Amino acid sequence: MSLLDFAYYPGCSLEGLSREYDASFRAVCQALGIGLKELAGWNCCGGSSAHAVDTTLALTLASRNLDLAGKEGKDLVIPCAACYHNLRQAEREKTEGKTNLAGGRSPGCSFRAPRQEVGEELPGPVVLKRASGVPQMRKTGEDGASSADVPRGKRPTVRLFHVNDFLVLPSVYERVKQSVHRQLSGLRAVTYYGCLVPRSDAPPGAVAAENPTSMDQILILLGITVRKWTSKVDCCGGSLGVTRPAVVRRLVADLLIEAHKAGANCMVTACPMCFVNLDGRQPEVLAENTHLRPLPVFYVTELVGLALGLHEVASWWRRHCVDPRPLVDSLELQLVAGPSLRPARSMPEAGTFDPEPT
Amino acid sequence: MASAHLDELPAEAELAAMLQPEVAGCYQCGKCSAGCPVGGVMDILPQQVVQLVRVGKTEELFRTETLWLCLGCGTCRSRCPNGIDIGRVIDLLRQCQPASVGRSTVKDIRRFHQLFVGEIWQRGRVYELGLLVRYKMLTAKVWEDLPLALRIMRRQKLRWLPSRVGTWRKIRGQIFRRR
Ligand code: SF4
Ligand code: SF4
Ligand code: SF4
Ligand code: SF4
Repeated sequence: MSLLDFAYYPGCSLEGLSREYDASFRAVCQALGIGLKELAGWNCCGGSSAHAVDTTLALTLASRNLDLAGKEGKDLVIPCAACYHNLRQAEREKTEGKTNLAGGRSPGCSFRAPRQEVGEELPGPVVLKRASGVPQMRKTGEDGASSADVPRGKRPTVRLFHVNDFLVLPSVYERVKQSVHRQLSGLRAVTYYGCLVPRSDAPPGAVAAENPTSMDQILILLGITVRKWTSKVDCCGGSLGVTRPAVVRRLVADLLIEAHKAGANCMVTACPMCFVNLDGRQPEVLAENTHLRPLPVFYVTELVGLALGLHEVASWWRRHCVDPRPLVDSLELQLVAGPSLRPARSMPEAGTFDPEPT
Repeated sequence: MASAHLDELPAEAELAAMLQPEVAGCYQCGKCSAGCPVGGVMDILPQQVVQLVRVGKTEELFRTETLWLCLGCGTCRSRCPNGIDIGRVIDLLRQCQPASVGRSTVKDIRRFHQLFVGEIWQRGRVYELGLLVRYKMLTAKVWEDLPLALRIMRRQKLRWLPSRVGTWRKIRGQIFRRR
């Protein structure tokens, strides 16, 4: 097998609230023989707050991580939608910003936001440094190309991949295909991409901005029935999660209604914030909307892990607020003739069949 | 201070002039408002934000709840036939809002964003538990979301000790500056 190595930017959420996403992603990569190197000394990307406070700060925070990845010299995988969005914004600013400056004028207006004071209410007030490189405002996403599509030579830095796009990279997809150990055919899923990832990559009005398919492809590969629904890219209210929980609960209720209408028995996401809103807040949403039934939510990486037959799955389910175990246990997991993945490092030849004790 | 342009808040006319090219193509079709996930709770709709910018009434925008309710989700930009990025216009307006102006009903959201950035200043990473506790205490919303918090803690999802970037104190000066 050829070597596959990626740099990894977990982001703050995967160190805390969504440790099961981090654990499942790492376990899946290990099982697939894909090397992951966590960026040493990565910092927070600014989340959905820094850009509201100071544009330069937001871009500086994100681009420091790009620089770290550049030094590492490996393509960067990012599991969180907000992190991915922020790093992509910074990447655009870095690459296209230069071009625009060379051209003398940027399209759109050159907006300079005033210096903001942040942390007024905190000990040790700070003022943002605005030494150089005040960002110029321009329309984002005009090229619309995902970093995945751009030939390497044309880019000064490494390529960025959100986990969904990483999983459908031909080399990775092929490995998943070779290693699927059982078909998860009892699952009827709706794929929830959330608002930011599709819109970070696709230009306004593009099909991919409203109907992304990467996660669908990977789930179909695992034997899951993917239900069509119209809320793939609807926003769950992420950045108001802490400040306006009632608004978020309403948006989550809408998503649950749509998922039920689509006949799904689970929802799949690839963003820690989406997951907290859909899974963590679901008990309150169900209490407010008594006609709704609980709907387990999965990270896409957890389902890959389940299909690969990883034994760690139990430790991931424990962290869910809507217990997925009844659903998972009810599945008649069809074993497929193919290589088993345990133990992960010494892969048996294709064709060997490892019957699971049932 | 060095550049007046950067250190002072722009006057209304100046701010409007800076933002107007961004919204120039709008023909008020309303697609942005139709798709906005929080349109239902906003006091003015995204298309009205655009129109107020166009007529130069940015002061009025500072006094809206919409200014802080926008999620920055990009739906409006994605669906606007003219590619107008209202979320970004709103972000820039937020950055130009004088501290003393604004609706009291949404001040807590502004404060949250500042706390969040303060967290980054502290350690280079966000410590979720610390941020949540600080926000809920500061805004006297201790009881809100308590069930969620308990549920999350029972499942050991929050870490008890913050993670930090090892060299943060040395390098943060390149990103932030102390007053
Ligand atoms: S998405 Fe949020 S939590 Fe994650 S690194 Fe960015 S800011 Fe920090
Ligand atoms: S769907 Fe929600 S959590 Fe996901 S990126 Fe959008 S706002 Fe953030
Ligand atoms: S969608 Fe675009 S053109 Fe239509 S009203 Fe909104 S900003 Fe104006
Ligand atoms: S970016 Fe703001 S205004 Fe635009 S759709 Fe999202 S929440 Fe509405």
